[in-house]
Amino acid sequence: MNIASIGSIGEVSKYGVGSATTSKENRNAAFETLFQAAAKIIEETNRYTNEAEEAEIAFSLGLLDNTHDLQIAQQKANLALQFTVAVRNQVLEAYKEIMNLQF
Amino acid sequence: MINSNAFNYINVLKTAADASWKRNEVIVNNIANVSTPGYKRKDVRFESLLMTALTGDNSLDKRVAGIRADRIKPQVYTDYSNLSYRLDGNNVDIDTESANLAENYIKYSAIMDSITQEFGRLKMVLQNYK
Amino acid sequence: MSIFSGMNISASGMSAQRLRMDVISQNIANVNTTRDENGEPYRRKTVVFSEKNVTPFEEVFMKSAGTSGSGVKVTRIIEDNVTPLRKVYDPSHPDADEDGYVSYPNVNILQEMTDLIDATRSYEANVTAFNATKNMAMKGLEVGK
Repeated sequence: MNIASIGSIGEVSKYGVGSATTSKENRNAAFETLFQAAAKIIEETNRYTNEAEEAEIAFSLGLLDNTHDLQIAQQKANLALQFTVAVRNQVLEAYKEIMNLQF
Repeated sequence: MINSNAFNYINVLKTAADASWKRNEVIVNNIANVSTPGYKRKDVRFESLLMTALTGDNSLDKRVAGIRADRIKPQVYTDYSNLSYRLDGNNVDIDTESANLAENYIKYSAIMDSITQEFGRLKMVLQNYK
Repeated sequence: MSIFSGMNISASGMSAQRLRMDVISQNIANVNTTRDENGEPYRRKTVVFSEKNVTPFEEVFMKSAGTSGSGVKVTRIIEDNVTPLRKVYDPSHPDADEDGYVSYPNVNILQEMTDLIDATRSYEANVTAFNATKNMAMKGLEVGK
């Protein structure tokens, strides 16, 4: 028996443990970016919704100069919300698909 | 929508709509003051400001993205041109103002329609991702 | 400045032109009035327009901000004391003076008719402007529909 080859098996197992750790780090980094992006989308949607609501109140108080300001703010808020909901649905779908993978 | 570039064209169109609205107010004031002695007609300066803001070699998308909304606010100016005014010092020509009124209304309608279509395109994209 | 400032401006223009038409109608109705309640012949009246402005502080502020103005108003209705009265020789008239001349009002019918047509045209232009502003506001409400 070649003792050197048995020694190399030990090295192989060490390699396996190391790679599992790095791939877990990669998965964490990927999840971080995804999470940050999702937080940004929600923050932006929140901003547009607040602007639309402020425009509504300003319009009721008679502070606006024209009619299209209100409508444009509302449409932007609607689109941002639609986008957020669509992203959430897509992410949920992807998650369900991954969970359904049989091993 | 993460970088908010989706609404750039809509923002520029909105500034054009604001200028059109202001121009309507100014024209209406000119028409109301057609008999006021010493009154000089007013107008709105906007298209030249937008043209200056859109200079550059990049693609239109990049140039539109680089526009700052406070640089292209519409400005009201008084037209002191002495080419023709009446004995009472008033230089409002009611026929010209009426023509400007009609032209401005058409411009405003077109801008509103363009904004609606831009929103429509964005909505259409989102329809497929229910 | 609100959404309806354009409509208010047009409304002020319509009111001013209508007042002018009323004054012109009064002139025409009194073209032969040789004696009013003061015993004087009727003198032609005219209106004086001026641009509607707010307090002086706001005026300076508005000039720097470049706002569009607030319309027109009639500041005074003045009597025309410059044009001489029309003198007609008629000794049998009860208002004749010692030379037999009667002083008729200094109203020139042709002038008044021209002014009336001008006022009507200005009024109609203001109505058109009002409708244009109203239609623009309605158009703005339909964005995104």
